[in-house]
Amino acid sequence: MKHSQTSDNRSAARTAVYRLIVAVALLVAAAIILSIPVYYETMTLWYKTGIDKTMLKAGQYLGLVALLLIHLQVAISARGSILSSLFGPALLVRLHRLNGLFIAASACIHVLLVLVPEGMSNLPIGWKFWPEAVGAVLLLIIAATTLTSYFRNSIRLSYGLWQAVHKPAGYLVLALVTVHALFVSESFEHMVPRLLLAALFLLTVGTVLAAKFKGRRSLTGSSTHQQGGIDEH
Amino acid sequence: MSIKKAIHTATLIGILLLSCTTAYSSARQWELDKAHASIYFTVDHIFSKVLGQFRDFTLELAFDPADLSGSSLAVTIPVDSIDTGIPKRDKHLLSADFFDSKKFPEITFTSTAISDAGDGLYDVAGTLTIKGQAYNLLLPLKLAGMAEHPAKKGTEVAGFNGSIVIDRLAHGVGNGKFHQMGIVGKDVEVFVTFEVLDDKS
Repeated sequence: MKHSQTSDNRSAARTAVYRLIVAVALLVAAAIILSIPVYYETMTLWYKTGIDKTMLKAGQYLGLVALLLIHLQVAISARGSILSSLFGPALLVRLHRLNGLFIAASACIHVLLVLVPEGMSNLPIGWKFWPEAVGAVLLLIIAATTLTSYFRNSIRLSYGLWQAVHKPAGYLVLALVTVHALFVSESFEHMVPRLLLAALFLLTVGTVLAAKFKGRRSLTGSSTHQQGGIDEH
Repeated sequence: MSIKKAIHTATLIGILLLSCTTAYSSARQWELDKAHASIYFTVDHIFSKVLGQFRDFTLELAFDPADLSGSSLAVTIPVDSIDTGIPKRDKHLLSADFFDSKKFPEITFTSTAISDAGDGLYDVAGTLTIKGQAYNLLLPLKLAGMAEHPAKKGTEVAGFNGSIVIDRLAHGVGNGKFHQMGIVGKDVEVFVTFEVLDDKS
Protein backbone atom coordinates (compact mmCIF):
# COMPACT_ATOMS: atom_id res chain seq x y z
CA MET A 1 0.00 0.00 0.00
CA LYS A 2 2.73 2.41 1.06
CA HIS A 3 4.81 1.35 -1.91
CA SER A 4 1.87 2.08 -4.24
CA GLN A 5 1.37 5.58 -2.70
CA THR A 6 5.06 6.42 -3.13
CA SER A 7 4.86 5.28 -6.73
CA ASP A 8 1.77 7.51 -7.30
CA ASN A 9 3.57 10.50 -5.78
CA ARG A 10 6.57 9.91 -7.99
CA SER A 11 4.34 9.61 -11.03
CA ALA A 12 2.51 12.86 -10.15
CA ALA A 13 5.80 14.67 -9.63
CA ARG A 14 7.08 13.36 -12.95
CA THR A 15 3.88 14.51 -14.69
CA ALA A 16 4.22 17.95 -13.12
CA VAL A 17 7.81 18.22 -14.34
CA TYR A 18 6.82 17.11 -17.85
CA ARG A 19 3.95 19.61 -17.84
CA LEU A 20 6.42 22.32 -16.85
CA ILE A 21 8.79 21.26 -19.62
CA VAL A 22 5.97 21.39 -22.20
CA ALA A 23 4.84 24.80 -20.90
CA VAL A 24 8.40 26.19 -20.99
CA ALA A 25 8.95 24.77 -24.50
CA LEU A 26 5.73 26.45 -25.67
CA LEU A 27 6.76 29.75 -24.07
CA VAL A 28 10.22 29.60 -25.66
CA ALA A 29 8.66 28.84 -29.07
CA ALA A 30 6.22 31.75 -28.58
CA ALA A 31 9.05 34.09 -27.53
CA ILE A 32 11.09 33.16 -30.61
CA ILE A 33 8.17 33.72 -33.00
CA LEU A 34 7.13 36.97 -31.27
CA SER A 35 10.68 38.31 -31.51
CA ILE A 36 10.53 38.21 -35.34
CA PRO A 37 9.01 41.74 -35.73
CA VAL A 38 11.69 43.10 -33.37
CA TYR A 39 14.59 41.86 -35.47
CA TYR A 40 12.83 42.05 -38.84
CA GLU A 41 10.65 45.17 -38.66
CA THR A 42 8.21 45.71 -41.51
CA MET A 43 8.76 48.73 -43.76
CA THR A 44 5.13 49.75 -43.30
CA LEU A 45 5.98 50.71 -39.72
CA TRP A 46 8.65 53.15 -40.93
CA TYR A 47 5.96 55.39 -42.38
CA LYS A 48 3.67 55.37 -39.37
CA THR A 49 3.93 57.73 -36.45
CA GLY A 50 2.26 58.20 -33.07
CA ILE A 51 -0.84 56.16 -32.25
CA ASP A 52 -0.96 54.71 -35.79
CA LYS A 53 2.48 53.15 -35.30
CA THR A 54 1.54 51.77 -31.87
CA MET A 55 -1.69 50.28 -33.24
CA LEU A 56 0.00 48.72 -36.25
CA LYS A 57 2.76 47.24 -34.09
CA ALA A 58 0.22 45.82 -31.63
CA GLY A 59 -1.75 44.46 -34.58
CA GLN A 60 1.29 42.65 -35.93
CA TYR A 61 2.05 41.07 -32.55
CA LEU A 62 -1.56 40.04 -32.10
CA GLY A 63 -1.49 38.46 -35.55
CA LEU A 64 1.50 36.39 -34.50
CA VAL A 65 -0.23 35.48 -31.23
CA ALA A 66 -3.20 34.24 -33.26
CA LEU A 67 -0.85 32.22 -35.47
CA LEU A 68 0.77 30.59 -32.43
CA LEU A 69 -2.61 29.82 -30.87
CA ILE A 70 -3.79 28.23 -34.13
CA HIS A 71 -0.76 25.94 -34.10
CA LEU A 72 -1.42 25.10 -30.46
CA GLN A 73 -5.09 24.46 -31.27
CA VAL A 74 -4.29 21.98 -34.03
CA ALA A 75 -1.71 20.23 -31.82
CA ILE A 76 -4.23 19.98 -28.94
CA SER A 77 -7.00 18.70 -31.20
CA ALA A 78 -4.75 15.92 -32.50
CA ARG A 79 -4.64 14.67 -28.88
CA GLY A 80 -1.33 12.90 -29.17
CA SER A 81 -0.34 10.40 -26.52
CA ILE A 82 2.13 12.75 -24.78
CA LEU A 83 -0.33 15.64 -24.39
CA SER A 84 -3.16 13.26 -23.41
CA SER A 85 -1.11 11.50 -20.75
CA LEU A 86 0.18 14.77 -19.35
CA PHE A 87 -2.99 16.85 -19.27
CA GLY A 88 -5.80 14.34 -19.66
CA PRO A 89 -8.53 14.43 -22.34
CA ALA A 90 -10.96 16.53 -20.28
CA LEU A 91 -8.45 19.34 -19.73
CA LEU A 92 -7.43 19.23 -23.39
CA VAL A 93 -11.07 19.66 -24.46
CA ARG A 94 -11.50 22.64 -22.09
CA LEU A 95 -8.23 24.11 -23.36
CA HIS A 96 -9.32 23.58 -26.97
CA ARG A 97 -12.61 25.39 -26.42
CA LEU A 98 -11.01 28.29 -24.53
CA ASN A 99 -8.18 28.58 -27.06
CA GLY A 100 -10.75 28.77 -29.87
CA LEU A 101 -12.19 31.89 -28.24
CA PHE A 102 -8.74 33.43 -27.84
CA ILE A 103 -7.98 32.76 -31.51
CA ALA A 104 -11.20 34.41 -32.66
CA ALA A 105 -10.69 37.41 -30.36
CA SER A 106 -7.03 37.95 -31.28
CA ALA A 107 -7.80 37.56 -35.02
CA CYS A 108 -10.60 40.14 -34.85
CA ILE A 109 -8.53 42.66 -32.88
CA HIS A 110 -5.54 42.02 -35.18
CA VAL A 111 -7.64 42.97 -38.21
CA LEU A 112 -8.90 46.17 -36.56
CA LEU A 113 -5.47 47.23 -35.33
CA VAL A 114 -3.94 46.70 -38.75
CA LEU A 115 -6.71 48.32 -40.81
CA VAL A 116 -7.57 51.37 -38.69
CA PRO A 117 -4.15 53.11 -38.99
CA GLU A 118 -4.37 52.74 -42.78
CA GLY A 119 -7.86 54.21 -42.85
CA MET A 120 -11.05 52.16 -43.03
CA SER A 121 -11.90 53.84 -46.34
CA ASN A 122 -8.62 52.60 -47.78
CA LEU A 123 -9.11 48.84 -47.50
CA PRO A 124 -6.69 46.52 -49.31
CA ILE A 125 -8.99 45.32 -52.08
CA GLY A 126 -7.87 43.94 -55.44
CA TRP A 127 -5.69 41.19 -56.85
CA LYS A 128 -2.44 42.79 -55.79
CA PHE A 129 -3.60 42.48 -52.18
CA TRP A 130 -4.19 38.72 -52.34
CA PRO A 131 -2.32 37.95 -49.05
CA GLU A 132 -4.73 40.31 -47.26
CA ALA A 133 -7.63 38.56 -49.02
CA VAL A 134 -6.34 35.24 -47.65
CA GLY A 135 -6.45 36.89 -44.22
CA ALA A 136 -10.07 37.92 -44.78
CA VAL A 137 -11.02 34.35 -45.74
CA LEU A 138 -9.14 33.13 -42.68
CA LEU A 139 -11.08 35.47 -40.41
CA LEU A 140 -14.38 34.25 -41.87
CA ILE A 141 -13.45 30.58 -41.36
CA ILE A 142 -12.27 31.26 -37.78
CA ALA A 143 -15.48 33.15 -37.00
CA ALA A 144 -17.63 30.41 -38.55
CA THR A 145 -15.86 27.54 -36.75
CA THR A 146 -15.97 29.36 -33.40
CA LEU A 147 -19.63 30.34 -33.69
CA THR A 148 -20.78 26.91 -34.91
CA SER A 149 -18.83 25.27 -32.06
CA TYR A 150 -20.33 27.44 -29.34
CA PHE A 151 -23.86 27.58 -30.74
CA ARG A 152 -24.07 24.12 -32.31
CA ASN A 153 -27.08 23.14 -30.22
CA SER A 154 -28.82 26.48 -30.65
CA ILE A 155 -28.60 26.26 -34.45
CA ARG A 156 -29.48 22.53 -34.32
CA LEU A 157 -26.34 21.41 -36.11
CA SER A 158 -25.81 17.67 -35.84
CA TYR A 159 -22.58 16.54 -34.19
CA GLY A 160 -21.60 14.44 -37.20
CA LEU A 161 -21.99 17.30 -39.66
CA TRP A 162 -20.29 19.74 -37.31
CA GLN A 163 -17.30 17.44 -36.86
CA ALA A 164 -17.09 16.66 -40.58
CA VAL A 165 -16.68 20.39 -41.30
CA HIS A 166 -14.87 21.51 -38.13
CA LYS A 167 -11.80 19.28 -38.49
CA PRO A 168 -10.95 20.03 -42.14
CA ALA A 169 -11.66 23.71 -41.42
CA GLY A 170 -9.07 23.60 -38.65
CA TYR A 171 -6.43 22.17 -40.98
CA LEU A 172 -7.39 24.71 -43.65
CA VAL A 173 -6.93 27.52 -41.11
CA LEU A 174 -3.44 26.19 -40.30
CA ALA A 175 -2.48 26.19 -44.00
CA LEU A 176 -4.02 29.61 -44.71
CA VAL A 177 -2.48 31.31 -41.69
CA THR A 178 0.94 30.11 -42.84
CA VAL A 179 0.40 31.48 -46.36
CA HIS A 180 -1.04 34.74 -44.96
CA ALA A 181 1.91 35.33 -42.60
CA LEU A 182 4.50 34.42 -45.24
CA PHE A 183 3.22 36.82 -47.88
CA VAL A 184 1.44 39.65 -46.05
CA SER A 185 4.40 40.86 -44.03
CA GLU A 186 7.83 42.02 -45.13
CA SER A 187 9.20 40.48 -41.91
CA PHE A 188 8.79 37.06 -43.51
CA GLU A 189 10.68 38.03 -46.65
CA HIS A 190 13.86 37.19 -44.71
CA MET A 191 15.27 33.67 -44.52
CA VAL A 192 15.38 33.23 -40.72
CA PRO A 193 11.68 34.09 -40.08
CA ARG A 194 10.69 31.87 -43.02
CA LEU A 195 12.68 28.96 -41.62
CA LEU A 196 11.20 29.49 -38.15
CA LEU A 197 7.68 29.49 -39.55
CA ALA A 198 8.44 26.40 -41.64
CA ALA A 199 9.85 24.64 -38.55
CA LEU A 200 6.74 25.50 -36.53
CA PHE A 201 4.51 24.28 -39.34
CA LEU A 202 6.40 21.00 -39.67
CA LEU A 203 6.33 20.50 -35.90
CA THR A 204 2.55 20.93 -35.77
CA VAL A 205 1.93 18.76 -38.84
CA GLY A 206 4.32 16.17 -37.38
CA THR A 207 2.42 16.18 -34.08
CA VAL A 208 -0.89 15.61 -35.92
CA LEU A 209 0.52 12.86 -38.12
CA ALA A 210 2.20 11.13 -35.17
CA ALA A 211 -1.06 11.19 -33.20
CA LYS A 212 -3.02 9.83 -36.17
CA PHE A 213 -0.45 7.11 -36.90
CA LYS A 214 -0.31 6.04 -33.25
CA GLY A 215 -4.10 6.11 -32.99
CA ARG A 216 -4.44 3.93 -36.06
CA ARG A 217 -1.86 1.48 -34.71
CA SER A 218 -3.68 1.37 -31.38
CA LEU A 219 -6.97 0.74 -33.16
CA THR A 220 -5.56 -2.22 -35.06
CA GLY A 221 -3.83 -3.46 -31.87
CA SER A 222 -6.71 -2.96 -29.45
CA SER A 223 -10.31 -1.90 -30.11
CA THR A 224 -10.55 -0.15 -26.74
CA HIS A 225 -8.31 2.75 -27.85
CA GLN A 226 -9.93 5.68 -29.57
CA GLN A 227 -8.42 7.44 -32.54
CA GLY A 228 -6.84 10.84 -31.91
CA GLY A 229 -9.10 13.88 -31.98
CA ILE A 230 -11.20 15.95 -29.65
CA ASP A 231 -14.85 15.09 -29.31
CA GLU A 232 -17.14 17.94 -28.39
CA HIS A 233 -19.75 15.69 -26.76
CA MET B 1 -39.29 92.75 -72.47
CA SER B 2 -41.98 90.43 -73.77
CA ILE B 3 -41.74 86.69 -73.19
CA LYS B 4 -41.35 86.12 -76.95
CA LYS B 5 -38.42 88.55 -77.10
CA ALA B 6 -36.81 86.93 -74.05
CA ILE B 7 -37.05 83.47 -75.68
CA HIS B 8 -35.48 84.83 -78.89
CA THR B 9 -32.63 86.41 -76.89
CA ALA B 10 -32.06 83.18 -74.94
CA THR B 11 -32.03 81.17 -78.18
CA LEU B 12 -29.51 83.57 -79.73
CA ILE B 13 -27.25 83.34 -76.67
CA GLY B 14 -27.55 79.56 -76.83
CA ILE B 15 -26.58 79.46 -80.51
CA LEU B 16 -23.64 81.79 -79.83
CA LEU B 17 -22.44 79.63 -76.93
CA LEU B 18 -22.77 76.49 -79.03
CA SER B 19 -20.76 78.01 -81.87
CA CYS B 20 -18.07 79.09 -79.37
CA THR B 21 -17.82 75.51 -78.02
CA THR B 22 -17.60 74.17 -81.55
CA ALA B 23 -14.86 76.68 -82.34
CA TYR B 24 -13.02 75.71 -79.15
CA SER B 25 -12.67 72.10 -80.26
CA SER B 26 -12.81 72.70 -83.97
CA ALA B 27 -9.29 71.35 -84.50
CA ARG B 28 -8.63 67.81 -85.64
CA GLN B 29 -9.81 65.20 -83.12
CA TRP B 30 -7.29 62.50 -82.25
CA GLU B 31 -7.82 59.15 -80.58
CA LEU B 32 -5.44 58.07 -77.84
CA ASP B 33 -3.33 54.98 -78.58
CA LYS B 34 -3.58 53.55 -75.05
CA ALA B 35 -0.87 50.96 -75.64
CA HIS B 36 1.60 53.77 -76.30
CA ALA B 37 0.65 56.32 -73.70
CA SER B 38 2.01 56.69 -70.19
CA ILE B 39 2.10 59.09 -67.29
CA TYR B 40 5.18 58.38 -65.19
CA PHE B 41 6.44 60.17 -62.14
CA THR B 42 9.51 60.11 -59.93
CA VAL B 43 9.94 61.42 -56.44
CA ASP B 44 12.94 61.44 -54.14
CA HIS B 45 13.08 58.88 -51.35
CA ILE B 46 15.94 59.83 -48.97
CA PHE B 47 18.79 59.29 -51.47
CA SER B 48 17.10 57.38 -54.28
CA LYS B 49 14.23 57.99 -56.67
CA VAL B 50 10.96 56.08 -56.66
CA LEU B 51 9.43 55.57 -60.09
CA GLY B 52 5.71 55.13 -60.52
CA GLN B 53 2.95 55.56 -63.03
CA PHE B 54 -0.77 55.94 -63.39
CA ARG B 55 -1.87 52.78 -65.21
CA ASP B 56 -5.21 54.19 -66.29
CA PHE B 57 -6.19 57.54 -67.72
CA THR B 58 -8.27 59.07 -70.49
CA LEU B 59 -6.96 61.74 -72.82
CA GLU B 60 -8.98 63.77 -75.29
CA LEU B 61 -7.01 65.77 -77.79
CA ALA B 62 -8.12 68.16 -80.49
CA PHE B 63 -4.98 69.38 -82.17
CA ASP B 64 -3.99 71.13 -85.33
CA PRO B 65 -0.74 73.12 -85.46
CA ALA B 66 -2.48 75.50 -87.86
CA ASP B 67 -5.48 75.96 -85.57
CA LEU B 68 -4.17 76.22 -82.02
CA SER B 69 -7.11 78.35 -80.88
CA GLY B 70 -9.35 75.41 -81.77
CA SER B 71 -7.04 72.85 -80.12
CA SER B 72 -7.60 71.42 -76.66
CA LEU B 73 -6.38 68.76 -74.28
CA ALA B 74 -8.28 67.07 -71.44
CA VAL B 75 -6.80 64.36 -69.22
CA THR B 76 -8.57 62.43 -66.46
CA ILE B 77 -6.60 60.13 -64.16
CA PRO B 78 -8.28 57.72 -61.71
CA VAL B 79 -5.97 58.07 -58.70
CA ASP B 80 -6.35 54.42 -57.66
CA SER B 81 -4.55 53.37 -60.85
CA ILE B 82 -1.28 54.48 -59.23
CA ASP B 83 1.41 51.82 -59.43
CA THR B 84 4.89 52.03 -57.91
CA GLY B 85 5.50 48.28 -57.98
CA ILE B 86 4.91 47.83 -54.24
CA PRO B 87 1.19 47.30 -53.42
CA LYS B 88 1.60 48.46 -49.82
CA ARG B 89 3.26 51.69 -50.95
CA ASP B 90 0.47 52.26 -53.49
CA LYS B 91 -2.07 51.80 -50.71
CA HIS B 92 -0.20 54.31 -48.56
CA LEU B 93 -0.16 56.79 -51.45
CA LEU B 94 -3.94 56.40 -51.79
CA SER B 95 -4.45 57.06 -48.07
CA ALA B 96 -5.16 60.44 -46.47
CA ASP B 97 -1.38 60.84 -45.99
CA PHE B 98 -1.16 61.61 -49.73
CA PHE B 99 -3.99 61.47 -52.30
CA ASP B 100 -6.98 60.54 -50.10
CA SER B 101 -8.39 58.72 -53.13
CA LYS B 102 -11.72 57.77 -51.58
CA LYS B 103 -12.59 61.46 -51.19
CA PHE B 104 -10.81 62.63 -54.34
CA PRO B 105 -10.81 59.75 -56.84
CA GLU B 106 -9.67 61.73 -59.89
CA ILE B 107 -6.98 64.11 -61.04
CA THR B 108 -7.93 66.19 -64.08
CA PHE B 109 -6.15 68.56 -66.39
CA THR B 110 -8.14 70.68 -68.81
CA SER B 111 -6.42 73.04 -71.20
CA THR B 112 -7.50 76.66 -71.52
CA ALA B 113 -5.05 77.65 -74.26
CA ILE B 114 -2.36 76.03 -76.39
CA SER B 115 0.42 78.17 -77.79
CA ASP B 116 3.37 77.49 -80.10
CA ALA B 117 6.65 77.93 -78.20
CA GLY B 118 8.70 77.16 -81.31
CA ASP B 119 10.87 74.24 -82.33
CA GLY B 120 7.98 71.78 -82.04
CA LEU B 121 7.22 72.76 -78.47
CA TYR B 122 3.68 73.62 -77.44
CA ASP B 123 2.79 75.25 -74.15
CA VAL B 124 -0.48 73.85 -72.89
CA ALA B 125 -1.93 76.20 -70.29
CA GLY B 126 -4.70 74.71 -68.24
CA THR B 127 -6.31 73.85 -64.96
CA LEU B 128 -5.01 70.98 -62.87
CA THR B 129 -7.59 69.75 -60.39
CA ILE B 130 -6.10 67.64 -57.65
CA LYS B 131 -7.78 66.71 -54.35
CA GLY B 132 -10.70 68.94 -55.31
CA GLN B 133 -8.57 72.09 -55.69
CA ALA B 134 -7.93 73.79 -59.04
CA TYR B 135 -4.47 75.11 -59.92
CA ASN B 136 -3.13 76.85 -63.01
CA LEU B 137 -0.54 74.73 -64.77
CA LEU B 138 1.59 75.16 -67.86
CA LEU B 139 2.46 71.82 -69.41
CA PRO B 140 5.09 71.99 -72.15
CA LEU B 141 4.53 69.27 -74.74
CA LYS B 142 6.97 68.51 -77.51
CA LEU B 143 5.42 67.30 -80.73
CA ALA B 144 7.76 64.42 -81.53
CA GLY B 145 6.27 63.95 -84.96
CA MET B 146 3.19 63.58 -87.09
CA ALA B 147 3.27 61.01 -89.90
CA GLU B 148 1.51 58.08 -91.51
CA HIS B 149 1.55 55.12 -89.12
CA PRO B 150 4.29 52.72 -90.32
CA ALA B 151 2.20 49.69 -89.32
CA LYS B 152 -1.27 50.93 -90.25
CA LYS B 153 -1.89 52.35 -93.70
CA GLY B 154 -4.37 55.20 -93.91
CA THR B 155 -3.86 56.22 -90.31
CA GLU B 156 -1.84 59.15 -89.13
CA VAL B 157 0.02 59.06 -85.84
CA ALA B 158 1.22 61.98 -83.75
CA GLY B 159 3.42 61.70 -80.69
CA PHE B 160 3.92 64.07 -77.78
CA ASN B 161 6.37 64.06 -74.89
CA GLY B 162 6.56 66.41 -71.96
CA SER B 163 7.72 66.70 -68.42
CA ILE B 164 6.99 69.02 -65.57
CA VAL B 165 8.05 69.33 -61.94
CA ILE B 166 5.17 69.71 -59.51
CA ASP B 167 5.54 70.68 -55.87
CA ARG B 168 3.22 68.08 -54.30
CA LEU B 169 2.95 69.99 -51.03
CA ALA B 170 1.81 73.14 -52.83
CA HIS B 171 -0.90 70.96 -54.39
CA GLY B 172 -2.06 69.44 -51.11
CA VAL B 173 -0.58 65.97 -51.70
CA GLY B 174 0.70 65.31 -48.20
CA ASN B 175 1.03 67.60 -45.23
CA GLY B 176 4.83 67.78 -45.31
CA LYS B 177 5.35 65.23 -42.52
CA PHE B 178 7.40 62.83 -44.63
CA HIS B 179 9.26 65.71 -46.30
CA GLN B 180 10.29 67.13 -42.92
CA MET B 181 11.42 63.66 -41.84
CA GLY B 182 13.66 63.61 -44.91
CA ILE B 183 11.93 60.58 -46.39
CA VAL B 184 9.76 61.70 -49.34
CA GLY B 185 10.69 64.68 -51.50
CA LYS B 186 8.24 67.45 -52.27
CA ASP B 187 9.07 67.86 -55.96
CA VAL B 188 7.50 65.27 -58.22
CA GLU B 189 8.75 65.04 -61.78
CA VAL B 190 5.94 64.00 -64.09
CA PHE B 191 6.63 62.58 -67.56
CA VAL B 192 3.83 62.49 -70.09
CA THR B 193 4.30 60.53 -73.30
CA PHE B 194 1.60 59.51 -75.73
CA GLU B 195 0.70 58.72 -79.28
CA VAL B 196 -2.61 59.66 -80.84
CA LEU B 197 -4.18 58.33 -84.02
CA ASP B 198 -6.50 59.67 -86.68
CA ASP B 199 -7.65 58.66 -90.16
CA LYS B 200 -5.42 60.22 -92.77
CA SER B 201 -8.36 61.60 -94.70
